[in-house]
Amino acid sequence: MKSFIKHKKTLLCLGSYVLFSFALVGQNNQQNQIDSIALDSAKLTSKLNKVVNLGFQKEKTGNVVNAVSAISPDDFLKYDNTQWVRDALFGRITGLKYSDNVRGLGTALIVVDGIPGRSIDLLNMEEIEDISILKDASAAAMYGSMARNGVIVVTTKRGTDKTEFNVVVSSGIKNPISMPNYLNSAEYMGYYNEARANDGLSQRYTDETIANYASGENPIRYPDVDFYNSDFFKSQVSFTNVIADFSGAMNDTKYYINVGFRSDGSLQDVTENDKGSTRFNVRANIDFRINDWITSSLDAIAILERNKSSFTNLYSAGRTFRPNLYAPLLPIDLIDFTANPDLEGLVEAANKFNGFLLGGSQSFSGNNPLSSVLGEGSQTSFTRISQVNNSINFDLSAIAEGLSAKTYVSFDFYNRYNLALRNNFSIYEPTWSADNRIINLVNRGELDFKATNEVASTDIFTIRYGFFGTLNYEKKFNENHFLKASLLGLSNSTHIRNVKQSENNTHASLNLNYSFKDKFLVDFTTSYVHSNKLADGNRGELAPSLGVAYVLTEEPSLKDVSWLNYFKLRSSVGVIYSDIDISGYFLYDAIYRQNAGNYHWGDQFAQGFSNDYTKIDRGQNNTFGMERRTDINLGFESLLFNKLWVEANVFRSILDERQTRVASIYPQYYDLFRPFSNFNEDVRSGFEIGINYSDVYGDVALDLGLRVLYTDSERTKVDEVYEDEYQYRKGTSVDAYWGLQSLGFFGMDDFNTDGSLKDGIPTQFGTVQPGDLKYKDVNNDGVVNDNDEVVIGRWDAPWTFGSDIKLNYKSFTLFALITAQVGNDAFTTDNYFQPQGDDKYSEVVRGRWTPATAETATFPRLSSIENVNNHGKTSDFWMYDNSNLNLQRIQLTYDLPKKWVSDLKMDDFSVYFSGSNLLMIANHKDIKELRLGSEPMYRYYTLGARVKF
Amino acid sequence: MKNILKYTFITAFLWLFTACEMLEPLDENLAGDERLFSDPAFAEGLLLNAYEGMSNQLLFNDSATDDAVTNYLSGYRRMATGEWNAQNAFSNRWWQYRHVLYVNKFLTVIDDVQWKIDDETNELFKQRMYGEALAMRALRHFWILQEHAGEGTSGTLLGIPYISEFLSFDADFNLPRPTFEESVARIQADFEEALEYIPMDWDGQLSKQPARYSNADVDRYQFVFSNTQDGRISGRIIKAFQAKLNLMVASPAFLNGSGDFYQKTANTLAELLNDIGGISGLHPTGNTDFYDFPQGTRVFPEVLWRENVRTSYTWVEQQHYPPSLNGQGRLNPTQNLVDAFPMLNGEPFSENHPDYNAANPFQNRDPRLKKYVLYNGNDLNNRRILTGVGGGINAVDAVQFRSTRSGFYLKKLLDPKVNLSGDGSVSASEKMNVFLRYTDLYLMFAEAANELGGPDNMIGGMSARTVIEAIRKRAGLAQFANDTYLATITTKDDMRNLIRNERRLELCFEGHRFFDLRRWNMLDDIPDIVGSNFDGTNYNEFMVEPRIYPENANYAPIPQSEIVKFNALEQNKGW
Repeated sequence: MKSFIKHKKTLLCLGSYVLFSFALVGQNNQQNQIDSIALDSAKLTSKLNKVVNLGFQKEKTGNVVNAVSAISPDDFLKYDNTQWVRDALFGRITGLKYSDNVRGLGTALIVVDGIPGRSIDLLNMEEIEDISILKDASAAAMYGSMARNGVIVVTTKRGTDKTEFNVVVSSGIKNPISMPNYLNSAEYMGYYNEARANDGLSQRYTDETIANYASGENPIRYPDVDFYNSDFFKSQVSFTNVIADFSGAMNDTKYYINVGFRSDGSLQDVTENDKGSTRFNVRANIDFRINDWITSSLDAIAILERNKSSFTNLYSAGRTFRPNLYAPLLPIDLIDFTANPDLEGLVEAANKFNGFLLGGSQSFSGNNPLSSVLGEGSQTSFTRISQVNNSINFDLSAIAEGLSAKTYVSFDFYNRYNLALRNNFSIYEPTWSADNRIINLVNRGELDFKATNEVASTDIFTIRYGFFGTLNYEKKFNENHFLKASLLGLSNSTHIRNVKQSENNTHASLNLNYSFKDKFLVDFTTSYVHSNKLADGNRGELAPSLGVAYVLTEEPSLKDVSWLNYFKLRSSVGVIYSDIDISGYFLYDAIYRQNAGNYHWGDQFAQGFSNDYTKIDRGQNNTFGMERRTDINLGFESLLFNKLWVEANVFRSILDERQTRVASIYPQYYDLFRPFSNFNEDVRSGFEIGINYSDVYGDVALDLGLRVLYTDSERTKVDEVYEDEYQYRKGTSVDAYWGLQSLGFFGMDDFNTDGSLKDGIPTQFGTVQPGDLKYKDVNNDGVVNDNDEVVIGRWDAPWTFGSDIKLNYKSFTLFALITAQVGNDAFTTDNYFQPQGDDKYSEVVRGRWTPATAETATFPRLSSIENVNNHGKTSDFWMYDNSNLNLQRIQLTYDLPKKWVSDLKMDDFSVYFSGSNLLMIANHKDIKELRLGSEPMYRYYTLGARVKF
Repeated sequence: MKNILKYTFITAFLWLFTACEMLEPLDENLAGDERLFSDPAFAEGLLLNAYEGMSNQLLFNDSATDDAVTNYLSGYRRMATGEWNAQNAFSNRWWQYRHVLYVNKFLTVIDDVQWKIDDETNELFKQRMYGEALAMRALRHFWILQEHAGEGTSGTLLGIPYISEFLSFDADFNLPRPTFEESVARIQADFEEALEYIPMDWDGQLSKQPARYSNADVDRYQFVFSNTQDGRISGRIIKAFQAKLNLMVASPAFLNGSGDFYQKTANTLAELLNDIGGISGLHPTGNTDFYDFPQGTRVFPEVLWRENVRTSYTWVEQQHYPPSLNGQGRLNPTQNLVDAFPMLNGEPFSENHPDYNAANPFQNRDPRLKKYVLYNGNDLNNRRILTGVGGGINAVDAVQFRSTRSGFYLKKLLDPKVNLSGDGSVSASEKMNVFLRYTDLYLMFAEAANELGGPDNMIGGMSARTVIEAIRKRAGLAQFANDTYLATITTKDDMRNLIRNERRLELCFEGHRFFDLRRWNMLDDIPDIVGSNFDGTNYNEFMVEPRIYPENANYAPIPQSEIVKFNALEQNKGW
């Protein structure tokens, strides 16, 4: 990979040349391509017969009653090669927001191969057979309590009769889209003096000091530290991903094997400790026959991940390291040994890094990121995951025709541990002579100590058991009536080390499905849900749901309408009882504790006595029960002209009986005596539309997908009490931002000559000055305070769009995925955007208010005092429109000529070039693209090949 | 067939295995209501809640007054600089009703707990704890009253609800505020009833035995009321708080001298002070030995009520030592306070005073200044601290959140022997929470006696003048001559000012002034805060931060969240 970076330009040129020449060759072989175009346009028609995985059953798309969307990676992976499952979900599925949020309800339950709670981040897209999203309560009912926020069902591939061998290799680079831009020392100091002056305080830095820093003549004594440059970070990072899978059959045994390797470099590049991560995975899914009525399967999965790094992430640590704090590296040649011969011994003994000592400062002794990177050593985190699944299928037709049973057992093991080799290190604070030489060094850190033993610590240790059993019966009564019934028992337990209670889920469900001539479809499910978080006698709930569908195109009168190929109306109602948001166990019980402090008395005459305070945790409420979701869904699916697939749903979920520790009727001192109860209620509603269009124009084949999701929410019952009507949260959306309304900055003319506010201007938080933020006094009581907060925005986007476009021209396929969120807001909360007090100043400070720039200022007047004015209040001043449109991915795929491929004894051979995060259109793109966590946002460029034997 | 059996067995086994584990939560050994009755120590813990977080000498609310500022954004700093309102009731004590509820809960179980096996001993235990519970309940109400009593929106002087029952979840929480006098009477009634159950001191002496125990078996009485209870609330402590309450009631912000509250204050205090020898009971090192004492000390004549001495009690030093000694320099005394320390000869400080030295204004000053305030050039256990030129990170504003903002660091209340190392290791220190000390009682007595009859009004053999004289003498003022300045104080008004100043100095940084200023009706117009910076030749005064209190600041707000919920609850005027 290293050589790839070194020669990236040449390699890229070579790559494009190869692609181009293949393209020329491909022209001569266009004959071979026609088949595949024809195949694409037939896809929509075939969609009706495509089998959808509903979790415990399978059903043809045309016969699905409830609101379900599904994708099969094999349909698109060749043209949109992303192995990160969340990327493949985002924007592709009707009714899905981001990658795991069904209709805005929250994080959905993820079920992998029948077991709830597994992570999709552990899978390669390549090993997935299909993904189904169960959206309404009726569709998700079989998952009981856990289905509260909808379900994402992921099923992995299994062996086929045909022997197949697939390899996908991809490699590329990612580079940061935007890096933070902080001010340099001299500029910082100038602004800081201005901040002090604004506060009526004296200058911190004299002009002479600032000049010393500005001149850069002695960058050690007068440092200007900036980590965000090529000394510490690479300009681009490389990654590689190789996945191979095999499938086939031997006798009665079918197998599917997937092996993957991934490596991802580290952006931080200071020492060899900044290595990056590597991942290896292997999966074997095996199906075999035991006798003529029992078949079984055994799956084994292992994943190993390793990530080596230094102890400090400079990207995030740099945000609090002001440029003028101190020089983190002291050159030894600046030390004046003649003036202070004692230093020779000190330097002799000290750890040296390329002729430097680690610098430090008593005042900032806790803030030494670079010293930590250089001197503290390294840590390596290992993740080890294994999963084993076993299913046994019984064909019980000997007992009754159409009767079968299945048991499924799984065992997961997750372990992450750290190996740390942590050194103690000294940091030295220099004393300078008049001629800029170091004449003394004082250790402000620890004594140097080189660790020799790796210390292991376990972060995560999780075991999950899953079990379910189903008993299925299906029967056709004459030609017209088809009945299916399943009885399900499911239990599932997750144990996390150091967490007292294992998370246990148990429920039983009965599903009845009836269809009349494929025209009238009825689906009834009832689940008995159990929660061990509730009081005895209050632990079970029966949750029924009913879905009906009517396929109009099965009516004789519509059967022959040529443009209407398929039309289905559907409706469902259902209830889900859930304990997933109940935040603990025994919450219904009044609980007292004696572990929060004690009183000590009597040491004058004896050794002294003590006893703990007996504290209450909560009051008693045995009627505390499960939360409830009640759904109504109405929709249709249709296929028109064999080219246009349209589906739409409107939906409404009432989420009530929510866990609430009611406060509005109790005084604040009753806090801990309050019981838990079921009180709050929210309503979520919206609609979704999905459209697929396929057509062929001469040599060009087009596939277009467009998905729109609109969600809204309302808090319909809230435990709250306020002074004024407008403050009530009831009736506002769940995702509302409450804050003050900004009126810009205070101007000079708002104040009297003595600095007091003019009459009639409402007072606000502390003393204000010209240039401070000015807020609206909503209730006109002459004071701006927390009571003046109103809804100023919302964080969840009401509108979500996703669109995929595939254009096929001869051997070339161009794919693009576009997503958009519209109507949501966000805050610039980071110190980068809101520096105050002693924070590091970023470029935003340049737009600060001064009397001269009052008209154009974009930032309040500077202040060296943290938050004493009204700077840090939540207000729309710091809010921005978060709406955005993203070109998530674009991929150009070239299929090698069929003849070549078959000569090479291959089934398929394609190469591709793709890019991610290439384009964003947003009002505040600069803010959105600057990520201030531990890593910047990246743009990815990938070159890859896919071979199938 | 074998296979079928095998699989059926495995399946059944798994069902059973999971079913039992899955349906019940793991028993966490949590203690419910029943434990209160079965475990006396657990039940006693309910009562002990009343002792939690009591007002002690380390509240550091002085940064809300004119005595100090903080170098970080504390609630008190926000409060003092204009952010105080009913939504942000920074000094709020309303939550202390929680302690009242615990006491009331305790009273619901006290009769059902088996404290001791022997019936008579059990009965004595029960009565002792009953008295203790009443006393603590009254004390908690006093603290709430101290913060929240005041003139209501209707203009009447209001007290606070007195909660004498445990409130269950369906109780009526919409409690109105009774009049101020009624609240005071309820508190005093609980104190008085407690005195029927609790002896003056925990020493088992029959001479101090409350009358109700006169028929009790002596051995059993002495066992239950022995000195093992020392440190729990006693009759003496109750009386001291009764006096504190009465003095507050008599103060200008409340009844302003009407009624016999000054008289009651003076009488109670005269009794308590004469028990330790009157004027001669003022302990010679009492102004420092409650925080700076040799390790192992367990007898503190100065201290009337304290918690046990704790070892490794060093958060105070970590927060308040100057940065060069690896502290955070949090509380910074003000020039305003420094100016309140008189000259060494006892006369008030003035730059025109003949003993004043502009190059070192700390020379020839009240020796308490050197003990309490770490000014430029003063030292902490011989570690000299400079806050002006050459001060490095100790200099004014050198490092935000570490350096002083006023030019002064705290010295009082810190154990000067403590060493904080740069690497975080800390030498040990012994310290204790002090709830009442006698100097406070002497000053309260002086205040009441002066209000009743001027400087020389003798009550129980003491007068304001004799008390103030003793305190100033202990301080080291006018060592080589008579306190000529004190002799010039002859009027009640002058004496009042002198007592208030002595109270400010003696009790500085111990959390008293915030409440004193309010009962004296003075918090609303305290001056802005001034600091002082040494530039090598001169001390230059500069403005540190303003003091912005509204006119109604002497009566603190009841938290707005409570007012909104409960319409029977009347807010104090102006909030």
